[in-house]
Amino acid sequence: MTPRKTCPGWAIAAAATLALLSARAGFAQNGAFNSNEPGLRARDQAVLDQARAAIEADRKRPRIAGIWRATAPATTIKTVDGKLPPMTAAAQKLYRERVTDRKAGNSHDPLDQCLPPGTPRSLWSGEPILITQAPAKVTLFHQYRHLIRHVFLEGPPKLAEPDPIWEGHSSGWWDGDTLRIQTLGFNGEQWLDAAGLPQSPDMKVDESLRLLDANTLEDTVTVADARYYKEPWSTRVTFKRLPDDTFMPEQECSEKLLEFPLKPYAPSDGGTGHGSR
Amino acid sequence: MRQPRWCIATAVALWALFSSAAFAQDSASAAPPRGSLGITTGDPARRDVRIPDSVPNISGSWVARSSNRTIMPLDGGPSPFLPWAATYFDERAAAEKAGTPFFDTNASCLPSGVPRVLAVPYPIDIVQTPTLTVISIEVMHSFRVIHMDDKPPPADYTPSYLGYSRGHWEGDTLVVTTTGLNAYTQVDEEGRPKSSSMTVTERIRKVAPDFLENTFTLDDPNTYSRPWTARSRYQWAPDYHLAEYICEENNRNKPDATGKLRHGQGGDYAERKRAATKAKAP
Repeated sequence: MTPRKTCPGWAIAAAATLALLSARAGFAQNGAFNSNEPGLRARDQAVLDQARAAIEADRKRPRIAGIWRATAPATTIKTVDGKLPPMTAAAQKLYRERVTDRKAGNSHDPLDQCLPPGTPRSLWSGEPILITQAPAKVTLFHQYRHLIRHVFLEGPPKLAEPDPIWEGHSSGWWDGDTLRIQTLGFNGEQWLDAAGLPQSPDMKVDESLRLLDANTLEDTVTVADARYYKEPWSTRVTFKRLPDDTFMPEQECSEKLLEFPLKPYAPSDGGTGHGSR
Repeated sequence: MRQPRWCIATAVALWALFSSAAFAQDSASAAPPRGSLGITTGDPARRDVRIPDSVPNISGSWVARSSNRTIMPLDGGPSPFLPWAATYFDERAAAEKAGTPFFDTNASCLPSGVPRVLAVPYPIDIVQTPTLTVISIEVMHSFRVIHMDDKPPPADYTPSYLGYSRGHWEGDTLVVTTTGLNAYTQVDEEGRPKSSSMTVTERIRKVAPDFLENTFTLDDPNTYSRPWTARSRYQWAPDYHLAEYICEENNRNKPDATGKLRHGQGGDYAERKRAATKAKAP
């Protein structure tokens, strides 16, 4: 059969379809998808309208934004009355073991393995904490082991079954001039202090942050954990404002777990130009 | 069935036309709107309200649309290695192939450092304050502080994984210059090396309402024969909250004193805990 010398309509159609498909794929690869979606502008406008009220409200709030440091760094926690928290029998047993182990030089404090302290233990580090404040989110950036806590201002946590994690899930809201933060969903592994106050996965931490004056921030922390504490108990930490341009150097806890010193790669840095195996 | 040549040519031309139309559309959207009017410039509720509207808004959560295995020159050419760097790169590839990989800071839960973190496949969160731009990176809970006031590093500054970053806006582009990097990290996972002399210059801008692009240039005369440029991209993810990432929970590939990796041994918190529980059992 002699090939026809015309281009059949179906071939053109197929080519056009293929071309359109690859154009869309090109879009996706090129990272510009959605940019011309009709709903985008409407969505933007809705988000913006919603944000306007939050922005205006935030302008009137106290500014807790800045760099802060605990005035009295501590490794052990006492209640606001200066007492040991009201431990249950199970907690007391764990606590005694941990105190004995540490005395014997055999502590299993997760902090020693560079695991994150979580709230409230991180608050007492005594190292600078950069707090950023936006209408929908407050973030705490710690110099201490570069810990980060993003607190979305979405009201109390709504998680029915939170994924258990070291630092818990924080959610907050403004109650007048007080920033309330609730945190839950801890994995129950961390200690609340170096002595060994325990936590269980049921622990809930409720914080109230308020400015006592422009340069003094107070965080009243209430811990509720029925498995280990007879009743909720409160403790308090006070922060002083540091200059806004305070430099926060990087702090890598895991360097201390290395069994050999880090080696430079480049000859210009004194390295061999070869890697270690 | 065979078709005449012109038919195939028409098909190819059609394909090229439509594809290039898509690219043209992409570049047409490359000039994003200015100021905070429009969510297309960032999340207005996630940055400090003291920042004037004239400063472009890139605050909010972004998910990476790039991968970090390789950071390649954007021009498609080979990495302009100096001889030592080319040797190192080949040795590393051979060692990995042989199942005896070289040490990498990640193996000990230490950061990948700049520039490697610029192209990791993990989400980021950007917070703008009047004097800082803080970029949180989900992997290993890192955060980069970019000083927007052009303040130099303190006199006692020690070179670090993420370095010391200074930034300023050039129109809609955030230009970040990073120096003060330490000597212990590489450019990428594949093993392009670097020295502590590297200067990284990032140009970060919105290229579409939902897309942030970071075009970064690496200048390291002790490792590369010329500066070279690479790129990463992020898509806006307003509902995404960065997840907890704790490498130390499973710090099990720690190298021994000779630098050899011990897969699945040592330093593992979970293993220690199991051992302790076992020891205490009656």
